[in-house]
Amino acid sequence: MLEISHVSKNYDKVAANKDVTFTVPDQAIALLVGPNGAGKSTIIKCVMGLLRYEGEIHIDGVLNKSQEGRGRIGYVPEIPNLYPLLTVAEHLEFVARIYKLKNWEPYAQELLDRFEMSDKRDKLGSELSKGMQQKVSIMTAMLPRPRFILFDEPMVGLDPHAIKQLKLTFEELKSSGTSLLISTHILDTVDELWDQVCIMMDGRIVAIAEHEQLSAHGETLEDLFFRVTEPYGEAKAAVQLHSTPAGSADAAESSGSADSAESSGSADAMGSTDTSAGAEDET
Amino acid sequence: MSAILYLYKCRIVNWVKQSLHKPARLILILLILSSAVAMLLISFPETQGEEYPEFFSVLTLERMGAIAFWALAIVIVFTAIFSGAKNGAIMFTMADIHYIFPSPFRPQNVLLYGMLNMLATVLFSLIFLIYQYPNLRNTGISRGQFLLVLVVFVFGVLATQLIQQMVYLFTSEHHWIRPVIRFIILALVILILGGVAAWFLLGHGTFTGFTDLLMSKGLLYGVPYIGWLVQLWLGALTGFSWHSLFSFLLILLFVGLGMIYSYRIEPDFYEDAINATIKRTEREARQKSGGSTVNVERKPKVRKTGLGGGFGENTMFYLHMTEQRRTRAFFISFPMVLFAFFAGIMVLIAMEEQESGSVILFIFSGMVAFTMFFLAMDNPLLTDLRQPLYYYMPGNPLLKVLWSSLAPVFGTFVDLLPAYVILAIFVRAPIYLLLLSLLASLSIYLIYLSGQMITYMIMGTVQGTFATMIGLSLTFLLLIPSAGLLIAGGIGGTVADPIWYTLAFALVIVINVALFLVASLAGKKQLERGLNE
Repeated sequence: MLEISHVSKNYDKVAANKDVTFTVPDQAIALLVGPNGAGKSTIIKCVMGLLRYEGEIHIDGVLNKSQEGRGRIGYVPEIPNLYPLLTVAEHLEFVARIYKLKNWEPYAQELLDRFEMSDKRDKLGSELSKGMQQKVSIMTAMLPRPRFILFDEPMVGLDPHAIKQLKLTFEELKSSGTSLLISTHILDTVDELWDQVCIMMDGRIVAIAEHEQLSAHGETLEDLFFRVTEPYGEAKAAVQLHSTPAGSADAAESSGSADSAESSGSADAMGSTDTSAGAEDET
Repeated sequence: MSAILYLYKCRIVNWVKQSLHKPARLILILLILSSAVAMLLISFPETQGEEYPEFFSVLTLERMGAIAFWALAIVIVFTAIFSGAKNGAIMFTMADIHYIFPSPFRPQNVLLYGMLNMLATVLFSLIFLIYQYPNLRNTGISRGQFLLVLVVFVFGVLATQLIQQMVYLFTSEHHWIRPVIRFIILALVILILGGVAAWFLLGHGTFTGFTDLLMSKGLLYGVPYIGWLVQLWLGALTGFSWHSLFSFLLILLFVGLGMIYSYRIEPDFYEDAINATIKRTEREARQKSGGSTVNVERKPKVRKTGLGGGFGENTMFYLHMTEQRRTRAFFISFPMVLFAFFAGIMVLIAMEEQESGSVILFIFSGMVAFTMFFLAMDNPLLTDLRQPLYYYMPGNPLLKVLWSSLAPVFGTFVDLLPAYVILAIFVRAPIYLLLLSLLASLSIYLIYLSGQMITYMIMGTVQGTFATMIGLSLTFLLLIPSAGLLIAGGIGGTVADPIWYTLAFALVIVINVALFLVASLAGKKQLERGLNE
């Protein structure tokens, strides 16, 4: 289980993440969606231990920045950065050595075949197109078979065939016991995949919903996303005009804890309360 | 560790393989190395004392060494401590951030890997010190001495890198101390400079006395690390003693303890390292694409003056004016200060030498023309010629080129204004001559733009050795009329009639503008041809 508790991150005076709290259960595909500049990449980098932040992040009860914690997460960054002087095969071997993997070669070959990179195995990183670099990035994240893999905008730069393969891979990873946290703002490509969605806006989690709950209400991810994010300004104004002590307390309570939002059992309710909560905090 | 060794091995092997296919870089490195070795093998004559016997009788090799080594040690160590209060002596690539930072390595090992990268880079850059051998040979230093000094100096530089690392790690645990350290370093620099000035000016100290002080054991042992470094370097230059050996041991102990301290704490350096790597990568990318790297790290301020105009082709002019406005606080820029400084010097010369205002204007125009050559190396026209938008935006190509060129000329005009105001107030020269001189200076800027445009059209770039040579040759060729006219006008004005000054300036303006208009056709041709791959 990936537990993110009260994480806040500031870049100088700009708050990129504000008291972010959510949990990704085992064997689940969680989506982290939100408009540009919502703070998705920042929270992913915090989980990867690449940034300094306030709050705590645990992976199966282990601190994310510990050696053990780092060994349990894989990472596919938004922009792939390969070693220009390492071939595709050498990238895989390098990662195998980092994670001290044994008998990794068959799985590496399987990944090369799946992402149609077998014929490119001896190509240098600098000779690959952006899409191919992204494929190498995904393969190297998967090779150590980590407990969690964080994907930051993984579909960007991939061709439709590779996107299809990646979706299949997501499902296989999930069934093999790996949890995924996928950050994206392209909703239609991931609509059928996810188990849980966290919607971020202005550095906060404004809604958390589960796929089944949302489907039970006849709502799609896109519907939820626009309902939560579009009337944001109006909701903020409404809270300013009509806030009551009781309303404020409810809002503050549900904004502070993702668990409380999850336990309310209704995606509809979660969306609306969290939206107003986010707005309340803004005021 | 096996992963890191594997990474190094693959990089080296693939680099060699790639270099065999594209040998330009390999040839360049071999050329640098072979010329460095040749530099050491050639027997340069020892000329100490032959040219300046009096000078060398007072300033012996040891005394020269003491001054040079103290200055070097202070600069290197202070810079390291100052930088250490912000960034560690570590170096990573974006791929390291992708693969090594999230890996289950101990942070200390990642830090060690970054330090090794940095040390290797510093070591490689110090190869160029070998080229100083012929110069140092003049001071009477033998080849053996030079090599010994070089080795010991490199040791000192690398050890100081470790000091920077220690300072960084210590201050990352105690953030509040960083500004204090920077303040102390700046205060020490001022104190040292003030102390040296006071020694000579107020205390009427002599060079011999000063160097005696620098070589005194009290100072060499009393100033931690810096004094020890100097003692070690002096030992390499003039012969090792127990003192230099002891200094070497002190440095080793100091650095060793620092390393143990560094390895004990669990530093959270990733964010700083990522920021530093991103900045370095941006700078390198700009260098590769031929852009300026001067202001990469400066954040432009959004002022109220935005894109307030523009229609069609002249939108480029307004765009560049907005950019200029956002990178110049209150219109002040480095060139503006520099030109004003030149003008100040000219005023002093005019007062001291009783030179006529017209002569002063000629000299000033020459200084401005020379400086503008370097300033013109980075201008909006060059940036535009690399942008796809510039090619596919609708409009007349010639007008696009003209409007793009106008913005840097206007910027230079603003830069020159304070200097000309100073000259107008303090130098006795007719106003019309001042105006003509200003316009002539601006027209020379147009010549630099012309050279760049023609080079870009021929070579597809202004970067690279060959393109730079072509660009320089073309610019000198285009400058011939201006240079000839200004020399002729200067001579004519001094020996015959002052009207020659006026005529020279006026003709320079007319000819340069004409040349620029012709060169603009090259820019037009480039736009019609399309963006270079």
